[in-house]
Amino acid sequence: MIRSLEREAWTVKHVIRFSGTLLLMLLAACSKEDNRFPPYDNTAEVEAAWKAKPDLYRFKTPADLPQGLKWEGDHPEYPDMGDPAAKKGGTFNYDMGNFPPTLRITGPDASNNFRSEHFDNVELGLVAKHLNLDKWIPCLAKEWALSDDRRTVYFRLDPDATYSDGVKVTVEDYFMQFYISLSKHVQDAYTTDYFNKEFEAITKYDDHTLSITLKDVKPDPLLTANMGPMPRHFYREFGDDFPARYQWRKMPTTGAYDIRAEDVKFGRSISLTRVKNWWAKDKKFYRYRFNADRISYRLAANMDTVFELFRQGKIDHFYSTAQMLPPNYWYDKGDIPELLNGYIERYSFYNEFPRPPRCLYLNQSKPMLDNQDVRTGLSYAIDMDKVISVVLRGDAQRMQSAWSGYGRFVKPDLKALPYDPVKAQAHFAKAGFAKRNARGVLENAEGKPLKFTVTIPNMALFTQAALIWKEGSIKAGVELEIESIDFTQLGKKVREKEHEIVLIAYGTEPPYPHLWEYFHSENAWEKNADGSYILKDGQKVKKGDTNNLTMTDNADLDKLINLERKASNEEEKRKLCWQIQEIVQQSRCQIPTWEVPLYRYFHWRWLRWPKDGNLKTTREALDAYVWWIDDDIKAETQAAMREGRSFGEVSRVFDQFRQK
Amino acid sequence: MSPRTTGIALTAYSLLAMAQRLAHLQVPVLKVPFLAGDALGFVLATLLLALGGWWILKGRDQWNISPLTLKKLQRFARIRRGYVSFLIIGVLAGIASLDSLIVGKRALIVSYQGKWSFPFARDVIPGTAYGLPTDAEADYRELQTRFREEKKGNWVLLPPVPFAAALDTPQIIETLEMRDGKLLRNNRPFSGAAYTVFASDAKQKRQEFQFRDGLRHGDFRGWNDKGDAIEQGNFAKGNRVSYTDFTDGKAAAFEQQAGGIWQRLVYPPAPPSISQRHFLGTNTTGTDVVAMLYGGLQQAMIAALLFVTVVFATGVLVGGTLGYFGGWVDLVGQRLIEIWSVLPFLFIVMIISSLVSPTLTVLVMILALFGWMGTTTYLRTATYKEKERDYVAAARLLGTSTPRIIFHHVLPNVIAILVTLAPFEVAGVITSLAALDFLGFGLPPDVPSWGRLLHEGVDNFNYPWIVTSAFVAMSSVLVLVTFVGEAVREAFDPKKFTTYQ
Repeated sequence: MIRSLEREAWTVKHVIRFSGTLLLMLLAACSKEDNRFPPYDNTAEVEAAWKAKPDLYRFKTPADLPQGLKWEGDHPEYPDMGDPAAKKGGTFNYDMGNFPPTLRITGPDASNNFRSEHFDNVELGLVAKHLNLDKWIPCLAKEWALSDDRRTVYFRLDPDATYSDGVKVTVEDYFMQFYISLSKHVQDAYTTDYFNKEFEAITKYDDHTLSITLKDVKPDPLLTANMGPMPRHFYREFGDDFPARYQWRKMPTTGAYDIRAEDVKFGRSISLTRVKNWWAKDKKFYRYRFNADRISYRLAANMDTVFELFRQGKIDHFYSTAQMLPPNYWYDKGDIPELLNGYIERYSFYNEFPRPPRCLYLNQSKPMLDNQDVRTGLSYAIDMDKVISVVLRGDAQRMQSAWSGYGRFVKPDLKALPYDPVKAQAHFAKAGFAKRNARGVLENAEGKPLKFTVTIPNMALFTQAALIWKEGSIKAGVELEIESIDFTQLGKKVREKEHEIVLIAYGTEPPYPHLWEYFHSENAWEKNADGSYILKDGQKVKKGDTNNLTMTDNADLDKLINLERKASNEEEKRKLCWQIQEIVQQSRCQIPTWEVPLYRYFHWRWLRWPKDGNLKTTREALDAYVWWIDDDIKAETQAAMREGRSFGEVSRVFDQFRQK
Repeated sequence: MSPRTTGIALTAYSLLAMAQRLAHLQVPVLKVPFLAGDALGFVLATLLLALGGWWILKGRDQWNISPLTLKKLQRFARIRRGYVSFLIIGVLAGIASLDSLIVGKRALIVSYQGKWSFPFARDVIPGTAYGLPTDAEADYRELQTRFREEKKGNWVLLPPVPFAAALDTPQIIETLEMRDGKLLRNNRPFSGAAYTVFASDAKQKRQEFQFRDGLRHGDFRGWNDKGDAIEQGNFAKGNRVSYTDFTDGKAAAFEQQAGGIWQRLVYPPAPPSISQRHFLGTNTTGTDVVAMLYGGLQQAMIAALLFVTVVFATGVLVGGTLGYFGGWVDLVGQRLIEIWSVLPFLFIVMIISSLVSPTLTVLVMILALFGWMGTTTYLRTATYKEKERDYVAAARLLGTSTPRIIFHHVLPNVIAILVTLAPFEVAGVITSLAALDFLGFGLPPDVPSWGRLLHEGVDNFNYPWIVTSAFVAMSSVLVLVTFVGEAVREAFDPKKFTTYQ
């Protein structure tokens, strides 16, 4: 007994001593200055690098500008992009699904979802597109001009252009963009490769005049030459520790919103604040946009939580990144008094934007799927109509080709195959699968059943769709095994091209469909410089991390795609696009699912929108920042809610851009 | 029932089971041994046959039950709550084994051109056998309506719940009533989407409107007889506020072609309805909730059986070894068990099921892999205790071999622990399985499961029939199992004290 007491005392003593040490260590860790990143100045190093490559970084004088350049930029006839009725001020509350891993705009983890909120949608380029007219408008550059051979674009920076920290934008900030993008320290192979491939030179004429020379002639050179500056004073410490050093440093912005250090609440929220005296606040096309004083994003894990926060008024806008608010929210869960009384309003806007190619991608490097008849049969065996009419309640429509929304760059007569088990079975029979086994699955002469694994992300909507496909496809004699896995795992599987059939969608951007990424054999198999396959143990090696999910490898197609990439005008590009699309569509290597021609959402009454709803070429509702918060209406609404006064149900539909 | 009659019954059952399998049939109850595949099925059936044969050969008229065990059994039967629960679970197990006889989309009997066939007990019968154009399996519910309309003397008898527990999502179409310009459903103003169809073709939509309190309110769309969109517009409180004709005035020609019937597609989940035979409604994918509960019950029963078998076998083997041999074996074994116990079970399951879509067997095996330590510890302690008893010493003195001592002398004396543990293990495995499904790391989505139903219900409280059904089903089974467990513990492992005075 005494011994055990002694023991206990000993243990207690040790525990105290141990926790004491731990506490000391913790205190030391807290009080210690972060000296991982000693100050650094790369000015000399950067200038030396510019000098070392005089072909790429060219320094000239204004006298060297070619004669007779046709400067463009002043377009008084274009309408404003915002609504003059917009009120400045207020805080907009919104949610985010994940906390961003970094605030850097380039390098590892930089292409996270939150980047668009503080960079892609906010930061300004040299020029911008008018989102209703699809025409170029001035942005950081006041004017621009094209050289005669259309390979060089000249820009004159707006002398007012200023970063959020008050420093003026100069041409050397674009030189810095090149320097950083081409540096190995940025650890972003894709960007480095892109800059190497696309650009021949950047030229400085004076502090506000520059030109960018492309390697090839492009249908629209401005599209490639358009880029943002990287402030030299901010990137003065850019070096081999760039990703770690700049992890949480926010680049000064030329755009309307900046993030203050104190507004980053790790794991909880991030707030954006409107830049005081923003340089473009009175410029045409920008003056009625970017209206809210603050935009606050709070972390909310799932849609139900977000909906509850929204109902409580803690979030002003309820929206789904799946482009269309799912029908169970739009109809059933939306049947709430706040909506019936008009405190919350419904809003649908038909936009014109390339639709995400949400397809079932068939991996043609897998057995059976390399057979054209099997693929055609599968296209007939997938019941898309039932998914659209039952799961999506007819609000979506059948996607006819994977390039829907690219306007004249899509061949108009491309059609997806409808659900038809009889035709499907006929095609399977042609491929040798003619006899049904005991479970009703077709088999070929060797007794091999027609069975495929369909990999889907584990989300309720996709599971529902996949179960309907499975139920319908057995009628055609094909068995689908549903593999519903986590999005990260799905991504890994797809990148390694290990899937058989996968349901996935990718982001899109106007104006041209991406064909090389999806269908060129370079992106299917590892190849030598001369175009021959790299063999490993006599086997071709799959090329990972590309978008060629169908493992398309067709020499004729490759030739067309090579021509399409180098097309020098839009007409030629269009023709080639149509040819390529026709071949791909006929190969039936992807089964288009559904597309949504609109975005729709619930929003509290005090979130106001322009009288036309929004701008035509917007991907999502908030992207163009034409909305505003009206604090007077907010007070009025809150008073009405207290008194139980109703404004009547409101549902706005803007279908002026709907394609009939 | 005497051992001989039990033996005869068992022999007959196993022979029938093998016969139906050899004839490529799937007769409910008889197919139970074959659930895990043909190979295992024949092994199981042969074992049953051997057991039956053994009982017949021994030919006893009376079971040779020790008076002690008999007393325990009688004590169990006297505990009403537990005993009744036990009987109910027995009945539930019986119902679960009836399978396609009571729940399923395959007909029980089809009489076609005077010949009877029994699809519920057969492999897929091609639709051509019933005069359908394709060799895909017939939709027997459609076949039933078709035969009724044809009136040629053919008929179909469906099971009481004519829906399968998975991959069976028939569309439900409801007819509504238009009275005085107001659309009514069950005599109440209707809110939602409703449509008219062509008089000439009842499957072709003519116009679809949104209704609010019986009045047209919101979007409307119209199609021609080929299914192309021809018009769209918008209503507010019954009045048309906007209208677009895509066909330059030709849409008006279709105005009169609509039949007078208003219909609506009931989107899943559909509420309970006797007329649609969805007695507890459907879930979010449109699967019948009763069928899904039934499928979940079957899964739970199979899982429980499998889990208890594996865990007890491991427990007896490892626990017995550790307890009987003791010393270094015990010391090392115990440490290994401790190490194994601290492995983060949930993480491992998550990792495994994010890599592959697990089957029920795989899941139960994973659960067993992390669930055998409890039983083992109990068994070890009990063996440890029993081994020191005089009868073991006596047996050893007589020169009995170690396996015989373990299996013949010690084991029967520790078996009471297993019996008392069993119900709690069952409750445990049912909960774990449901929990994994609930979290989305369980069975693939086309296997019925209570956990997923519960998850759907919790995600969608505005469809209360889902969460209610799943919750009631799961909690009642768990309560029953727990009642049995308490009674068994009371009966087999009584803490009875005798006081001498």
